[in-house]
This record gives sequence, structure tokens and C-alpha cells, in this order.
Amino acid sequence: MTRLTRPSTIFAALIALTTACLPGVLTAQSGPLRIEITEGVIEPLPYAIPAFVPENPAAGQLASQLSRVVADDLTGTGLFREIPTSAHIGSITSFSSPVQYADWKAINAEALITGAVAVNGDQVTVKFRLYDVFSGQELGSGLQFNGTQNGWRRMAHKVADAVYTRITSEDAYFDSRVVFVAENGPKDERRKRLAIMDYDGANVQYLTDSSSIVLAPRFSPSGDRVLYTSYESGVPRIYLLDVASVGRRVLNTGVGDMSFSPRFSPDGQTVVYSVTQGGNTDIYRMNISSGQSTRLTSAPSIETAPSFSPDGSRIVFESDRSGGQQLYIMSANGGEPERISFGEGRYGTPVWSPRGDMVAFTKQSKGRFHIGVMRTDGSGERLLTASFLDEGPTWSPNGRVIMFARETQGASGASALYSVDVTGRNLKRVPTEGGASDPAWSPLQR
Amino acid sequence: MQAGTVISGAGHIGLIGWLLFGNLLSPPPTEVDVQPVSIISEAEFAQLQASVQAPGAATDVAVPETPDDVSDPAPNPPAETEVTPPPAAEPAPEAPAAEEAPQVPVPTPPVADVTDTPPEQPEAVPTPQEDVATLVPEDAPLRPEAPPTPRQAPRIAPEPVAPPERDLPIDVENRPEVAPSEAPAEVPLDQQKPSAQQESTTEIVTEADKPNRAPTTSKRPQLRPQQLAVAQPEPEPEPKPEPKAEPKPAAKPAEKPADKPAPKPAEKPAEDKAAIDKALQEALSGASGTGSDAPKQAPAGPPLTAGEKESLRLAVQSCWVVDPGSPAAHVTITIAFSLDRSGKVLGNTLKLVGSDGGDAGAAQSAFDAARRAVLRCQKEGYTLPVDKFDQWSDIEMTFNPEKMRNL
Repeated sequence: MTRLTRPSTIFAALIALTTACLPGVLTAQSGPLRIEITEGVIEPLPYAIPAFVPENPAAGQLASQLSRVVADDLTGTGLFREIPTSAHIGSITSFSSPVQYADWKAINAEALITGAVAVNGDQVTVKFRLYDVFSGQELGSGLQFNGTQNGWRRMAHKVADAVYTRITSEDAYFDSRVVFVAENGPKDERRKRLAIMDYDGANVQYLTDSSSIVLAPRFSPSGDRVLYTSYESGVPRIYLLDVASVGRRVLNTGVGDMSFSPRFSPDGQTVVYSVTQGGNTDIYRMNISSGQSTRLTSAPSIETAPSFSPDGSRIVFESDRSGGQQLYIMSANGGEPERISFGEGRYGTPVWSPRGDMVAFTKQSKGRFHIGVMRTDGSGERLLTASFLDEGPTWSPNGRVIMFARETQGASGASALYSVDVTGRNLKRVPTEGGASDPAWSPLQR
Repeated sequence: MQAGTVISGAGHIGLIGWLLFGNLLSPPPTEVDVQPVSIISEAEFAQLQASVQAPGAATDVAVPETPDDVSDPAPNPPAETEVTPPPAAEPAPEAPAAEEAPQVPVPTPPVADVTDTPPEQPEAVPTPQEDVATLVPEDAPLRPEAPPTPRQAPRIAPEPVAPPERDLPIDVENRPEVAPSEAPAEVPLDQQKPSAQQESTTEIVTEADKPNRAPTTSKRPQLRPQQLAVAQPEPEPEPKPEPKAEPKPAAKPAEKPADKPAPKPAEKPAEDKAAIDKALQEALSGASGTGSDAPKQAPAGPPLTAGEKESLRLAVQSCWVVDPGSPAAHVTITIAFSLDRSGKVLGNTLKLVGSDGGDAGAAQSAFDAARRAVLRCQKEGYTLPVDKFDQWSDIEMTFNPEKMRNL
């Protein structure tokens, strides 16, 4: 019979129990050496893009221009750093010849983009390859685009989009456009008209004349129509404009003295907007096909600047119902809103990120204007800019970059467009002819 | 066996008896002071409440007391206690206090400071709120160890790097210029173009950022590498004795090799030393992992020192480029690779072991970044002690960008 109470037996059991943990301890050092890295660097990825190879004499100049636009797109993100051609050791003389990785490793290029261009009449063919230099392998397979000479910039943007996506695994935004209010003249006599351009400021076209004030244009989800507010009739009214034909019509919002601040729903079937009636401003939604409108808010305060979530289920808007101008979120069908901004100052013009996780906004605090972002529950507020007047943020199609308008101080102050990465880095001016305000970024073109 | 049953029965009976009747033996409870109370009606209570001065009376009390020390603008804690309205009061009723403030010959503290600021905090410093951007006043006191004003730089790295004195090509490390001297040298030198590390700071500085006067977070303690998706085989856990209906004291472990003595901790009460030896033998045999599922044998030789591991970690992290704005910044990735004796990655051995967080695209992007880091920074091979080659020939490296997201 076992005598369980014997001290020696208990001691033996304790030893067995204690050393039961030993296998894990002892074998933790067996197998591979394990290292955890928690700190890295945030810096642009160095890449090389030799001038694309012209495959026939007619393509000579275009090949160089195309590769330059691709490089400008990538470098302009702040995520990539082009290694200048003067530092290249190797060269690409044929699109199909093998890559000498050692030449590109030697200049610390992590990615290499090669391309070739052929021009036959008005037809242009662009093809490219992307290489991971240090792995010594191609990233994805080669890709080719066909187009016309007039669309060569779009083809370059398409190449840059593909490179960006292959390296970052994110959607890109280079082949997109921006509709904005072009401004001319002094502050007290400013002429405004709608204009559209490539995301990088190229190919500007004017959509309206400057006979009446226009405000806040917004793209449809397909990018073929634009909603905007115009004083053409003497009071603010919402107009719907077809980008291709430049034809427009006023939206019959029915009630109210003024209607403004329109924005499409993600499916493009519905418009949300603000209506001022008897000194009270509320948010409405209207089905574009049927013209039937529904009132979404009914507070005796100012509710405006509505913006749909990407799934169309919720709306973020600004309201002064709490005494100060703050941000709220409500169901797309109305109902009790939930306040999400609680910081100092005033919050306005919220825009839901295409990724769905953030809201960009304008903030006025302590005499300065900021463009900022916060999570949709109001947490994680970050101010990205600060100036005399920053306002009207709009997201790039991939939710990575925010474009906004910045106005300088003084009687001669002018408005211009700027963009900033969602991390707060890479703040830069978007080149435009003359002044510009109220930008709205289109979806990626197809 | 009968004796054991008897002992057990007696013990249980004793325990039950103590639980049932133990209280009889315990000392009587201490006496409790009883205070007589009177019940009042709702009308009487309302009358009592009406007689109590509301916030206005409290404000009247506080205002005359603060001017005693004109030189001290900060309200004394007792004054704050008296000024603070009752809990039921809404923030709005504080307005009357502000209206009465001009009667006081000293600057009236803001209402928010009176109600919200903890007594030990300076009046001008707003209470920082987590995850809410706050602007620190210009006159906020600097911490003694406060870093200099952060500057914007194209590179964010754990260690700041000052801009190079002259325009040099960017490299992962500073390289002095090596040029052939005019005098003929017996040993020819490899010419080397000078290069410099890119200017870098330790945090992202946005336009909206003021000089960072807020306390910085302390460095987190090092974590053990996490075992992700496809982890190394764990050692066989200590076999548990199978439950048996029969009161056999110790069953043989089911998966124990036949040549191992079965644990019989209490089979024979004979020698105490033998029992201890058996327990030790069993524990050590389990630790050595001789079972069928045991991991591969531990590398021979002394392990790498902490400094040697740190050197490798630093070498790789200087090339690990993280994009905090991308979905890949939410992916922790583990890769494995093998090195040759010169410290260079053996071809095609670098592979993904596991990932945590993000979708497939984000994981692929994170893997690419980790792969580039390892390959780019190896140069002529990582510097590791050759005599410990067995210890570092196979490496499993986890890249966790959690801290980078908060920069």
C-alpha cells in the first residue's frame, strides 16, 4: 500500500511537477534562432526606372515622356524614391533582355521598372516589367497597354498604378481626376467656375463659365456625373452635370429656400443634401430617378455636409445641435445621430474614407484651420495640416491621400489645392492654373 | 486500502462537522453600534433641501477666500473643493460663477480649471486625453530630458541621423571615401565612393505638430518572439497518467517509449531515494524530447549572447521599411531562412512561416518588405560568430510593426 503522506514521496512528486515545465524551457533554445523585430524605418523605397525603350523611331520622345510621368507618379506619393539616371550603372537597351541584378543592387535600387513604347500612327503601345532587385525576380508578369497618342498620360498613370499596387498591395490612384472650383480675380471680386483635371493637375478642362458662383462639386461613384451648388438662379440650388456632354439640370429638391452641399450615395442612386427652410437647415435624401425626397434630420439646429459610408448604411455630417459645430453619424435612413467629435474647436465638412475606417474633416481651433482624420468612432484624431485656412478635404480613391484647399492670408491671398498623405507626411501643392478650391477626387478611371 | 478509506471517511466527517458546528466554537460577533434614525416625509425632505444653499451659495463662499494670496494665481485645493458644485449640478450652471468673478481683485481662474483640473497640475496645462490631439501651450514647461524640436525628414528610424555635411549618395550606412593615395602603396586599396545615411528623425512630424513637449512613452520591454501560424513543433507535453477506474496509483503514459521506465511514483514505499531518482529521470527524459514527436535536436555549442542577437536584429531593422499608412502595417509576419557560414542567406531558403492580421494582399506586402530587409542588409554577410554557426544557421524572424503604427 502506498503511503501518500511520506515527505520523501511528496518531494518526489513536487520534483516531477516542477520539472514538468522543463521541456518547454529547455527546448525553447532548440530549433532555429528566433529574433523579433519591432522597429524599422519609414522611408521611401528606392527604385530605378531607366527611360523606356522606344521600339520604333516614332516612339522616341514619347517613351521618355511616359517613363517620366510614371516616375513622377511614384515619387509623388512620398513612398518611393527614384534613383537618378546619373547614378545608374547598368542600362536597359532591350525590353526582353535579362536584367543584370548586380548593377541595380550596387546602387541600392530595391525595385526596377523597365518598359518599352511603340507608336504606330495614332496608336500607342506601352509595356513594362517590375523587378524585385534583391530577390532577383520579377514582381508579377509583364503588362501591356494600348491607347492613342492623346491618352498617353493616362497610359503612364496606368503603368504607375500597376507598379504601385504590386509593391504595396494597395489599390492605386494615379489614373483619376479631380473636379474643383477654378478661381480668378481678387478676393472681393472672385470669379468661380467648375473645372476638371487629372489628379496631378494636368489636362484641365472647364465645365461651366464664371457667370455665377459655383460651390462644392462632387463626383458620382462612376465618375461620369458631378453634383454641385450654383447661384445661377439667385439662390443656392443643386445641379447635376454630365461630365462628357457638360449638360446640366437643376435637381428639384422641392421644399426650402436654399439647397446645397449635395453628395452621391455609393450606389449613385441617391443624393443627400441640405435644405434651409425658415432659418433651419436639415439633411434630406432624394432618389435621383423618382425625385422622391425624405427628410433625415429635424433638429432646430444646422445640419449639413452629409457624407455616406462606403457601404451606404450610415451618414456622417456636421451639426451645431450641441452648441458648437461637431461631427455626428446617423443611419442612412435618419434616426438619432451619435456624436463622434469631442475635441476643442469646431469640426466640419466630414468625408468618409473609401476604406471605411476613417473620417477626414476640417477643424478650426485657436485661430488656425486644420485638416485631420479620426476613426469612425471618434477615436484616434490626428491633425495633418495647420494654416490660416485649410478646408474641404477629399479622399483619393484608395483612401491613402487627402486633397484640400488652402487659402493664404491677406487681401491678395489666393486659394490653392494641396495634398497630404494620411500619415501626415508628403504635404505638397497640386499644380493648377490660377486659384483653386473645393476639390473632389474621382474614383479610379476604368 | 481499508485504512485509507477509514482515514478518508474520518477526515470528511470531521470536516463536515466543523463546517456545521464550527460556528458554535467561534467567538461571538462584536457588538455593532446602533444609531436611532427618524423617518421624515417627502415634504420635510424638500423643505430641508430648500434650506441648503445651491451652487450660488457655494460660489459666494469661495470668492472671498481666494484673494488672500494675490501672487498665487492657482486656486488652493480647499478653495477648489468648496467651489466645485454638487455632483448633480450641470456644467452650464457654472456661468454664474464666472459672472461673479469680477468682484475678486485677482484674475479669475477659468471655470474649466476650477472643475476639471487636478490640484497638482499647473493651471495652464490642459489635461492630456488619450488619442485626442491636443496643442500644448507655448509656455508649457519643458521636461528636463525633453528632446529638441523634432524636424521633418524623409526617413523615420529608431535612431535619428543628422543631415550629411555634403551631398552624398544615400546608403544604409556611412562610408568614408577611399581613394588611391598619390604615393604608391604596397597594398592596393579598393576604391570606394563616399556615401552617407539618409537624414532621419524618430517620428513623423506633421505640419500640425508643435514641438513635441509631451512626455514620450517609455520603451517597451522586449517581448519573446511570438509563435505564429506555423510554429516549430512543440515538445511533447508531460504525459499525464491515464485515469483508471482501478485505484492503481500510477498508470503508464500511453505514448511513452517502451525503453523508458514508466512513472511509478508510489508503487513501492521502499526506498525514498529511488522515488526521487525516478521523478528526476522522468522529468529529464521528457525535457530531452526523445518521444516520437520531439523537436529536432538542439544546436550544439554555446548559444549566441544577447549582444550577438542584438547585433543581428539591429542590422536587419535598419533595412526594414514600414509604411504606417498601409494595410501591411497591421500585419505581423514571421519568415524563416538559412545562412551560410559567411552569414549570407542561402538561396531559396527564405520563406513565409506565418502572418497575423490583415488580408492576403497586406500579408504579401508585409512579407515582401521583410524579405527585402533581410536580403538588402546582408551585404557581404551578417556578422555572426562562426564558432556558433549551428546556433544561427537557421533563423526565424518575426517582424511586428505595432510600434511603428504609432509614430
